[in-house]
Amino acid sequence: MSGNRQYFIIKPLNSSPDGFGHNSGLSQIKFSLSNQNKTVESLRVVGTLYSTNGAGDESGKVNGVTETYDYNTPRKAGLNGLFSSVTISSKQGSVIERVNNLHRLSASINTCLNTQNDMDCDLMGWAVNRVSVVQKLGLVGQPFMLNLPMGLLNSGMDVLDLSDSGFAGLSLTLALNTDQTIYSGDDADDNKPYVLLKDVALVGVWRDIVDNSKGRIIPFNTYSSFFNVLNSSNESVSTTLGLSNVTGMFGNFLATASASNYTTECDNLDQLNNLAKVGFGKGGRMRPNSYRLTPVPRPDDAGTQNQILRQYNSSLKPFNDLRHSCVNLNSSVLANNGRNEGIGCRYTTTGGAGESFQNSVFQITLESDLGVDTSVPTGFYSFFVSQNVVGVRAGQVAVES
Amino acid sequence: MTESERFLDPLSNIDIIDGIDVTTTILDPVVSNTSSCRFNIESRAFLQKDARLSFNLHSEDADEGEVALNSISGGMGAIQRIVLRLGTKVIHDIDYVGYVSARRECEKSLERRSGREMFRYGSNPYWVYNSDGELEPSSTEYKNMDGDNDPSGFRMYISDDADQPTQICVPLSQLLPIFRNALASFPLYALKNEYQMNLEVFWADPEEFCIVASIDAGINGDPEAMPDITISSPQLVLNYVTYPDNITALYDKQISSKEGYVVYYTDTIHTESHIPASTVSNTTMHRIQMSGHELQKLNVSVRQNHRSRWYARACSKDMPSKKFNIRINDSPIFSEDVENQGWQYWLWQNSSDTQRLYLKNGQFSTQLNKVQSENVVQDNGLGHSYDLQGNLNWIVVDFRKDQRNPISFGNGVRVGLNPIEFQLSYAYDATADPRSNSHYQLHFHSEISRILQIQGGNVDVSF
Repeated sequence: MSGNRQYFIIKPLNSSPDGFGHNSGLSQIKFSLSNQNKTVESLRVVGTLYSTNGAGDESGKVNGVTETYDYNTPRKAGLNGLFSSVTISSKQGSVIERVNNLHRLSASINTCLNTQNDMDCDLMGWAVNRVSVVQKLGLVGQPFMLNLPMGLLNSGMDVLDLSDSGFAGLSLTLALNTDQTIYSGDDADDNKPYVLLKDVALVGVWRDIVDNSKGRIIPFNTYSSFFNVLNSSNESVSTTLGLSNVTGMFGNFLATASASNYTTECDNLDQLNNLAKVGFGKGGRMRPNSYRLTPVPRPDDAGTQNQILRQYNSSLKPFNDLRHSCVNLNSSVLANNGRNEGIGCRYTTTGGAGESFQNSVFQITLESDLGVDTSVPTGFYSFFVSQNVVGVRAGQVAVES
Repeated sequence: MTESERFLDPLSNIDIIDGIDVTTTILDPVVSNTSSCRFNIESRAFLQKDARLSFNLHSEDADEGEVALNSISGGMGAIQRIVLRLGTKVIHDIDYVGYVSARRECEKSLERRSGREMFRYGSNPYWVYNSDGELEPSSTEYKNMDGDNDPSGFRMYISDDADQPTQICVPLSQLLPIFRNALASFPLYALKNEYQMNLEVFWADPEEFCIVASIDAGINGDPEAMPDITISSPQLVLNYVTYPDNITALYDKQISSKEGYVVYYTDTIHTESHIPASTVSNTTMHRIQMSGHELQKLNVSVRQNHRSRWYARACSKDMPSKKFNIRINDSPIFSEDVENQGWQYWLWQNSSDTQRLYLKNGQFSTQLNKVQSENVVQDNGLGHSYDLQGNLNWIVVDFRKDQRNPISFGNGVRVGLNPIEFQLSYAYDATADPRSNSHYQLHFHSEISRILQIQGGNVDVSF
């Protein structure tokens, strides 16, 4: 490995003295990683979060002592839930990866890949999967540090090549969620708080590389996000993905009425009510299971270890790692944290290339009573994990799928 | 079965193959007193790296349960300084090793700490969230809250019975980096007599690693006076491995060659600096002379005379509005000062082997709203929230070129003639930390590359 590691800090291209946020009128944060002979090893978004109430006053607690309001920020998604979408594109404007509904993606990833103890310690991502902790989130000028759940940023230390033989620079655009999406809780509903993000920057480590100007093929992981609305207790959803090498699919549910609402959390991971059967299909054929999954034993208020949750959890990671998760596999977890559930499946058991959906339609059938507490219609947020390839040369970027 | 034999793990299957003979030895020190002990390690066979130091602790004048091990480094904090030598050649000489142990504990998962290390060292990661989301000691683990004036102690209390003392067993790999080095082997048989390996341990003052119960009935009571703590019966538990002749012959060939048998390893050296008390914002520059050394990591512990009632001195304090920068070879490491606490947290996290920190809310920062910690409000409470809040806050910067490279040599930053300059700013804030108007002590544990060479029975260690 050549070159010394160097620490960097990159400020946004756009800025506002009032900070970023929908209320300040600047809801997108744009970064430019310039063309230079460096490879980014690690990248984080840092900044300071201010909560301001509808009257324009900063509200919350200072140094945790003077408690004014209890506003909840997403406890499962953490502060990645600040963002609705993240786009990584080349300098010429080719989109390399774009993920929508980041708060729903983060909620699933965080709970699937972390134990409860791990999440209790997620200090700077702020995804603390506990009901009690979330009650204390009245925030005035609080720093954060986020690892964006983008495939490209989590594909290894040799991928983000900014040189002419790589991406020749990259653009990164973060679009903020609405304040109604970010906040929840009674005080939030009363006072209509809004977010102001200040001192936002990208920090990380890069190292010098030698530009060989030959171009290269860069494999990377990616998430693709889709959104559908379920209106029927026996719903069938078909999506043309156009993706090759899909290694897994997972999805979660939220009543559409709760999608942008101060009274409800944006990252609830409740299962569909009385979910009876889930069938995954590819081009009209049941795949990867040749049968419909049923929750055996059926889920109840305490949550149970059932086939649906097991497959959901394994859609992100190898089967034998299930213990490192706080997806509700037993009732003891539910007591502290609310449900952590969803549906999903895995298209490879060996970490291989997965399956191609370029010429096949992805189908899913769901038999249920839709949302909890008869909240209908219900939003279905689905995410596909796929292995992608980008060909780069002298700033020209071609993404395979 | 002796006490030390109980600490031994069974031999692994890997060791038990044809031709390999393992002999377990329990060494008593050649010198032992109240402040230190020294072990001489016999020059035979190969030393297995799973070597352990065991010792006993008991309090002389405290009742049972009144004094306990701190909750982060536990009994490891009893070791103030540790020196490993081959003859007179120093491999490691690490002072204030309690800070190193405590910092490393923060990088281990809670499962590991609560499932294994709590029983090995007496560390205790059981901090829980109360119904308001604040952090407080577990009522199961912390027993000094039963509503009367008699402290009933802690789970990890130090025995008051000299005949049944508290036993601590520490793998040397926790204390000495060379024992964690995957590429290092110790062919002791090849050493001349004058290069016999020896280990010297200096014991810490109880104030460094012990916490004491409160006898006050009200909330946030002051702790009792620190009782005398006696450290006794230190022993070193070693496995000598004898390999088949064909393997030993390979070592012989290498040791007798021109370049000899070479181990590239990481050493930790300690330096200290001081920040005078200030009631306004304060910026200080600290120069660390490290000319010629190859720096891999810089770890800075911040200490005050006040010791945390939960961590004793096995902690590093956050400073209000802290920001820092480092200049090496006249170049700043950061293009602007590191101020955002998220960035500071990430720098430490990114430098750890696990790429994660396992701190609970309140332990890293004094200033995050979300991480407000709770003082113990039960009848016999101990300590204020600022005895917990922001007490596990190390400044760590990693300079390695390749974090995955096990060979330390050539993997760091070579420091030239000019000293490393560490600039640190903070501002007194009575709300964040009422004690931030006192002076601070900085302890730098710098990790550097060194080379150990065994050639023809002689030993040489780079400076």
